[in-house]
Parts: sequence; C-alpha cells; structure tokens
Amino acid sequence: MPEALTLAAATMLSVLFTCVAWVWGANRMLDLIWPATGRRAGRNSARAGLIRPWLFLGPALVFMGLYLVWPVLRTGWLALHDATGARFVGLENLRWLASDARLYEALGNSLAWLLVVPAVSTALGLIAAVLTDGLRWGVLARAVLFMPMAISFVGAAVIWKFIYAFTPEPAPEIGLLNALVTAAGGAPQAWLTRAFVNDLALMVVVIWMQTGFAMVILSAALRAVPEETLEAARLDGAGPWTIFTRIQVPQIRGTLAVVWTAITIMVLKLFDIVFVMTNGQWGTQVLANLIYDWMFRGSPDAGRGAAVALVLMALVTPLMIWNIRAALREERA
Amino acid sequence: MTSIILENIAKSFGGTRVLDGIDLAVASGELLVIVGPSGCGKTTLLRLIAGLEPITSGRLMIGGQVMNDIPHARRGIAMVFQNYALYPHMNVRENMAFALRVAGVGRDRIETAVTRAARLLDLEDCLDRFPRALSGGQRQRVAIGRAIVREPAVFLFDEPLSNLDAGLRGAMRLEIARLKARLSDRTMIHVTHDQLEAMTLADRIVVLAGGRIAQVGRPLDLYERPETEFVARFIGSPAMNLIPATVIAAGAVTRLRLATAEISLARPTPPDLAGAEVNLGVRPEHLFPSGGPGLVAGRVDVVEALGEVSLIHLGGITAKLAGTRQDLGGQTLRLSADPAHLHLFHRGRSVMSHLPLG
Amino acid sequence: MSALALLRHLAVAALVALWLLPTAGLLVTALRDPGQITGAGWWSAPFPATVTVFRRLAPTTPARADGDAWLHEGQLLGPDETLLAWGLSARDPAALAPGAEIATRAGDLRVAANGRYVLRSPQPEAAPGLRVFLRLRVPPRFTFENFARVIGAEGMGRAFLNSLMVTVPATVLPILVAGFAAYALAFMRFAGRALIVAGVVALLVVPLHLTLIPLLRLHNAIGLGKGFLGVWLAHTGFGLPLAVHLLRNAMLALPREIVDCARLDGASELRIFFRIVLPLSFPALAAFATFQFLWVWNDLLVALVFLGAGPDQQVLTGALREMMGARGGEWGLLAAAAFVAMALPLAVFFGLQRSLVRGLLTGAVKGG
Ligand SMILES: Nc1ncnc2c1ncn2[C@@H]1O[C@H](COP(=O)(O)OP(=O)(O)OP(=O)(O)O)[C@@H](O)[C@H]1O
Ligand SMILES: [Mg+2]
Repeated sequence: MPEALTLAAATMLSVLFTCVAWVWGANRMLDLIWPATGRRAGRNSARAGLIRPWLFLGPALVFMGLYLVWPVLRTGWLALHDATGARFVGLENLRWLASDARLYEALGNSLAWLLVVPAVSTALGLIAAVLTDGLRWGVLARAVLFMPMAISFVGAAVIWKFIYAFTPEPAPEIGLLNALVTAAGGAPQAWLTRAFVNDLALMVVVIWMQTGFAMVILSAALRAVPEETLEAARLDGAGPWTIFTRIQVPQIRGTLAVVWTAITIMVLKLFDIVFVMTNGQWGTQVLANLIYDWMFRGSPDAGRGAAVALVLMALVTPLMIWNIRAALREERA
Repeated sequence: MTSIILENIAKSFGGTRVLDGIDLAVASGELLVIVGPSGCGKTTLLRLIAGLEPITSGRLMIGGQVMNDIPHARRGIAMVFQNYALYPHMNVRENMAFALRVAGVGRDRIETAVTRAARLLDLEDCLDRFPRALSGGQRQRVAIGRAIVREPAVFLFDEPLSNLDAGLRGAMRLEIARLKARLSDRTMIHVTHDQLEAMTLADRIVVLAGGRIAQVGRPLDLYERPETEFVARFIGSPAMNLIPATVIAAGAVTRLRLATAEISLARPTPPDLAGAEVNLGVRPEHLFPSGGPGLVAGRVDVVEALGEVSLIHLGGITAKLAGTRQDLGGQTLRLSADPAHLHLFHRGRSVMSHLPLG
Repeated sequence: MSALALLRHLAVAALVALWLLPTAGLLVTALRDPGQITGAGWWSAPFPATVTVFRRLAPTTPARADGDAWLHEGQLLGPDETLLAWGLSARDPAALAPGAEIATRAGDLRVAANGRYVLRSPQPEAAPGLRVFLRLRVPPRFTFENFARVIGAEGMGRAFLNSLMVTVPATVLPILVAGFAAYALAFMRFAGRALIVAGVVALLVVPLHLTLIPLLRLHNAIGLGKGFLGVWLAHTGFGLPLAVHLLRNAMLALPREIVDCARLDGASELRIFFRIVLPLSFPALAAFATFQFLWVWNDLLVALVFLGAGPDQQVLTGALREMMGARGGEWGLLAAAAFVAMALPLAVFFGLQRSLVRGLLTGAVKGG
C-alpha cells in the first residue's frame, strides 16, 4: 500500500507538473521566437496568437486523441480483422453478425429499453418535479428521489436483487416483491429468470436511478418558466391541468428533449446492471453486455466484439450528431 | 504625444458589418466623447482601439505608430468597461494593484500608486473590501482607479456612468471633469448615450449612427449646426421639432410653404431645391407664442410643467416655454421662432447654410 | 388544506416511500443478526420473530448417575429466546410442546419451557450431536457483525482503499488538463475552434466499449499492463470531454470583460488563467470533481478491464460483484458490502448536492 500511495502522488504531481510546464514553457518559447516588440511586433504577435491556443489545448487533445479518438478508429479497424487482429478478413465479421441470433436478441432488448426507460424516467421526473415544486418538504423529497444518482449500478443491483429475491416455499419470502405477491395470495416467482418479466425488472432499476436526474433538470427548467405566463393563463381562467399541458410543458420542450436524449444515450451504453444482475441470461442480453462477452469472456474474439461495438456506435451516432448540431448552433450565437 | 488616428476602419462580425468607414483623428490630450443610440457600435469601436477585437479593415495609429496587430498590453491603453469588470475575487486594493503587479512594479511603488489613486477617488475606506460589498458609485470609481494607477497614455471609458442613479451620475460627471483637468496630457475617449454628459465633458463629440460617423464637432457646433436630421434630433432635449414644408423658391432667399403660412428666410439654399418636400427644424426652446400666423398652429394637447419651464405639446410639436404655463392647456396657440434658429433638411441632410458661429 | 393539496402531499409521500424502501430494506438487512435474516423479511425486523432452528445437544455439566441410567443436562435456549415448540425431525420441527418427553435413539429427552433439557441415557457419555429442532420466538437483534465481516474477512476494507487509490488521482488529473483547454475554447480566438468544440461534444457520448481493446493492448505494449497507472490515465482521458465541456460552459458564463480587462492590464494568458479564470471557475471545478468522483467510484467496466482482479487492485464495485456471485444467498453480508461501497458516494452526494445540481445544469450529461 505505501508504494501504491507514493505512485499515486508521484503520478498526480508529474502529470500536473508536465502539463503546467508544457503550457508555461511553450508560451515562453513563443514569446522568445516572436517577441511582440520591435519593428515586427505586429506580425510577430499575430503569429504567436495563431499558435498560443493550441498550446493550451495540447494536453487535452493528446489525452482525448489517445484515449478516445484513436481507440474508436482502431476498433473500426479491428472489426475488419480476425479474433486476434492478425488477419484481415474484410466484412467477414459483419456478415457473421448479420446472421447471429444473439445480436438480434440484444438489439430487440436494447430497442425495448430505448422505448420504455427514457419515456418513463422523463415522465416520472416531470411528475416529481411538478409535484415537489413549492412543497414545504419538497427539497427533502427531491433529495430522496435524486439519491440513487450517487449509487453505483452494482450497488443498485444488490438493492434490487434483494427486492426480487426468491425463496422456494415453504420458507418465508424475504424479497419484498414476493412477500407482497404471497400476501396477496399469489405464488412467489423467480422474477429474474422469467423471460420478459426480467427485462421489466431490470428496467425498473434503471428508471429508479434515472428519475432523479430527469427531475432535477426539469424542475430547474420549470422554475425558469416566467411566472407571468402562468398568471396570465390563470387570469384567463385556465385550470392547473391546462396550465401544465398548455403553458409549462411547451416552454420546457427543449429541456425535455435534452433529458430524453441523455437518458437514451445512457440506456444505449447500459452495461453494469445487466452484467451484474443476469449477465444477459434468460433473454436479457443487451448490446453493451454482448460486446463485453465477445471481447473478454470465454474465448474472446476482438474482431466480432468490435463488430458488435460498431453496431452500438451506429445507434449512438444520430444522437451524437444532434448534440453536435446543438453545440455548433450555440457556438455561432 | 498620443494622438489616435483611425483611417477608414471597418469591423464585421461574421457577415454583419458593425462599423464602416470610420475616419477619426483624436488629438493628444483631447477628451473625445462618442454618443449614439444603443447598438450603434460604440463599445465595438473602443474594443478595436484597445485591441480586444481584430480590425477587419483600415488602419489604426496610436502615437504615430500603426497598431493594428500590436497586442493590447503594448498599446498603453486603459479601459473602463460598461459593467466595470472588477475582479470579483480580489479586494479593491488588489484590483487596483493587479496591472502594476503584472508589470513587475515594486511593492512600495504599487502601494504609493494605489494610495494616491484611492485618495483621488475617495476610496481610502474601501481598500480592503471586495467588489460585491461596494455600491455602484464605488465600483465605478474602483474601475477608474484601476485605470489611472497604470498611468496609461490613453483612457477609454465605456459608459461608465450609465448604471448610476441621476444624482450620483451628476457627481461622477464632475469627478471625471476634474480627473481630466488633472491629467490634461492624457487622451481620453468617453462613450455615453447621455447627452448632458457629452455636452459638458467633451472637447469634441462624435455622433455614431448605424456604425458610421454622422458628425464630429465641438458640443455647441453639433447643437447649433447639425448636419443631419439624425444629429439634430439626437442632440438636444426634447428633440428638435420637424415641420413638413414645401420649398417654393430656393437660392439666396428661401421661401417655404407651411401648413400655416408661407415664410421667407434670408439664408441661401441650393437653387435646385425648388419644389422639394423638406423638413423645417426648430428646437422646442426656440419656439414662442406669437400673434402672427407663426410656424405651427393648433390646440394644446398636454402641458408638462417642470417648474422652471413648461413643455407644451400641440399636434406632435413640442415647445419649451419659461415658467409655469398650465393656463395654455386646451387653448389654440400659434408658435413662431427666430429665423436664425431654423434648420432645413432635405432627405435627412441639412440644406440651408447656418449662420456663422458667434 | 384543499383536497388537491392533500392528494399532492400523498402522491409525493408515495414516491418518496417507493424510492426509499429498497435502500432502507437493504440497510436494515445489513444490520440484522445473520441468523434472523432468512427467518423473516426485513420489514418484520423490529418485531420478535418466530424462527425455526436446530441445535445440537451439548451438555454443560458432567453426567449424573440416576440408578442405572445417566442424566445429561444442559440449556438449549440463548438469552431472550422463548421456546414455542420443538421436535426431532426436520419434517416436523414443532411436533412437541415444551415440557414434553420423547424417546430418542440416545435415550429419553425432555425439554422444559425454559430451555433446560434432560437426556436420560444408558451411557455416561452423551451421544454426540443429537439434533433438536426448536421453534423459537426471538427478540429483534441488531449487530454490526456483518459489517465487521465484510470489511475484514471479505476484503471490502482493502477494496475501499483501492477505490480511493483509483478515484482521487482520476478526479484530480483531468481538472487542470481540461481547465487549460476550456480556457482556450472560451476566451481565445482561433480557426478551428468550433470544430474542436463539436469534437468535444461528440466524444461526450462515445461508448467506452469501443476503446477498451485497443487501449488494453496499448497498455500491455508499453509495459503498463493492468494497474493503477493505466486506470488513472484511462479515467483521465474518458473524463476529459465532460470536464472541458463543463468548464468551458462555466467560463463562458463569466463576464468576458473581466478577461479583456486583465489583458489590457498586461497579464499573460497563463497568468489570466491561473489568477483570474481558474479562481472564478471554482464552482464549476467543484461540480466536475463531484461528478468525476461519483463516476469513477461507481465505475465497474473500466476497473474490470484495466485493473487486475487480485485483492491488491480490486475496487469496491468489482469486489461487490464478486461477492454477489460467491455469496448469493447471504443477504446480511451482501447488504453490508453494498453499504460499504455506497457510504462515501452517499456522503459526497448529500454533502455536495448543490454542486452536483449546478453541474447538471451547466451541461453535464454523460454516461460511460
Ligand atoms: N461579439 C459580437 N458578435 C456579433 N455581433 C456583435 C458582437 N459584439 C457586438 N455585436 C453587434 O455589434 C453591434 C454594436 O454593438 P456595440 O456593443 O458596439 O453597441 P453599443 O453602441 O456599445 O451599444 P450600447 O449602447 O447598448 O452599449 C450590435 O448590433 C451588436 O449586436
Ligand atoms: Mg456598449
């Protein structure tokens, strides 16, 4: 442990130091090469000004290039190669993929997740935001709903696996869900092993975790809706429901879209919950877990893993473009 | 030795041209005031001079040297920003000392400079306070103090008084006038849209409209001899009245037909103006009730009594009469003016030569 | 209070209950006596429970002679336990009432209501390990025993330290690197700025799965292998887009004139960054740090790929997942382990909630 601590401190200090030294030193170099004095001051400082931003961007670009851009491109390359990346196989992996039943299972599940989780989380978040707004104990309520945000997927998996726990009769059910079912006269179930039901059970966990996120953002957006528009509507005789649907919701449409896409992206990349709770068995496979399986489980096949990863990337791309366009629009304004 | 010369300066943001064809020479030690309606490019012009925005085209010279590409730090310019831009995390002393500390000035000299500026601006009690604990007027003075400790050759003031209430603004106006008197060798460019500020402070005024210079001149010049309708209405309050008229005869003597009467003016206009539709300009303070046909006639709609003067409104025309004249309310009135105070505008430009300035 | 308002309070209360119950249940379970957990659901933990257990006879005193037989005596009940019924077979564990006597293969056994038993046996040595089933009423019992076990024997303590080791540098490193970049993107004018901004936003949503194999091979190729250093670098790289995005948004919200003024004051870009912009961006830095902390602490995937599986490197999420496999039914242990893993993030969450909310509203929308 002590060596590890030293390593941690040394790494932190050396990366920070390198970064500062680089920006400082390079700035000094610029000022020495093109001093902003003398006859050529104008041209020199214009030149230095062209380069200076890149000095500041440098370390971040190196990190992002090396840890995000290059590996993604490299994965594209891997998808065209065999299991070890040694032999070029062209579109072989993609062809295999097109006929792989497990891919379709994962795609189907991912699609179901996409339809259910963002919609329900956003709707619940909106309801929670409206209900808690202005409530005297609203802050407390919001903190409780927001809390799962701090919990890891693995932690949430333990929490909910306990809810879904199943003990064969006659022992008493200690899982809350089965206890309720037996109390209502039903027969206890092994929820996580029943196809379709288990998908819903997993979705509930993610909805439980994401609702707070939606609520926090939507409640800020609701509060930004000008009070006068609500008062004007009230004077026009509109009831709370009309005000909500006709005045408030239209004004926060942009935020609703942002929340929706954020949760959609999160759901597309969802891995931990499925990995930990069912590991994709009993018909719960999703794309991200399938990729992990091919990349690291059993007899790994980097080529096929990369091919499935490309499918995931293709699904994320439209949202990515949507994000980029929003950012560029802002940049221009 | 720090004149500022702008030659045919233009500035575009993306595709939109914000400033165009700006030619201006500011003499060393002059206090030039730039006025103009909101969005006309005043701040942008200051930012170009300070080097905070690149100049799209044209040439900028400060102290005889081309400055287009010289970095801001080497232009010897201090700027007081419209929103003060105090460093929120530094107290007043640190705010004022920052530039000197950057320049590597010794601790003692910084202390002296800051103390002197604080005394000058009456800020000695606030030196250890943070900007958020200062009143608007104090913040404004800190912003000025931050500029003067640097002893720059050129001061740029961007509407420094616009966020203050009327009383404080009057006091600070005086403050700036005093400052200017004390630093008479420094060149100052002061932006405002308060014309009182402009008239009282300026050596010369530049009226900016839509990114172009409408007129440059001494304050009374602009008041008495506006070259355009825009300047005529922009300088002076309430704004100059414009009365539609038709030119019957032009040349050495000008004859005009008004709604009320025909009048002759013994001041020359271009001969080809005959038959043109023009606007006769007359300032409210130059109108007085008359027995004759007058320039305008009508029922008085509203009388605004301000105490020393009353503003009389009739049919879109405003007259400023001395004393309290509420007795005029509802009456039919004819107003006339001294021909020497009349202006004539054709297509927005002044077309009648003015009397020589007294 | 109007009916509508009442309805609203009730609805919020229902939501809060729904959100709190799962976690509360696990917390109660973590604190219960392991022996009671499977006997009754956590919701009945505050009440005395009726449990069925079996215990082996273990006489406390030497056998007394009684005619030609020997009497073996002892106590079957613990303190606070009440005997409801007892029996000798698992099929019918409550066949006999307290005080009843029955013949066993070892002799006649009688168990009194207070738990004392007498076995009348022909031998002076009691037949070892005779099982007796007891139906007991036991008072609720809470203990930290589960926590002690997972922190010690189950290695969650060590994993906690490892998580800290991973998280702290991975949180600190991106801040400065991102700060420089955000400064350039917010306050400097240069060709290609819009492109870089778009690139950062794009990288924000890249699934990490696409980076894993190339990076792992890279780490192996340059001798980094699996270890803390690799995980720090990976988390730094993965966290940067968010950090740049968040910090840039915060910097754009600063009055631009402050930076302009510092420039006119002659300050170099570096000095403006360190003396003006960085201090003024502190709330955004805190927001990002909170996010990155939670994200790294709670991460499973990156740790699985870039760290070894041994106890010297395994982090809490990994250890917890392993326990779920190895100790699937032992809910007391699992619950305690989960709370060990959740303790710090929950504390951070409740301590820095405002910072977190601000971060979200400044545009922090990420999911690895
Ligand atoms: N960075 C910029 N990008 C695009 N347009 C700008 C930018 N800065 C200013 N403008 C535009 O240039 C015009 C002039 O702006 P400027 O700030 O110079 O006006 P101003 O005369 O100072 O107005 P005010 O009296 O309100 O301060 C405005 O139309 C403004 O929208
Ligand atoms: Mg302005």
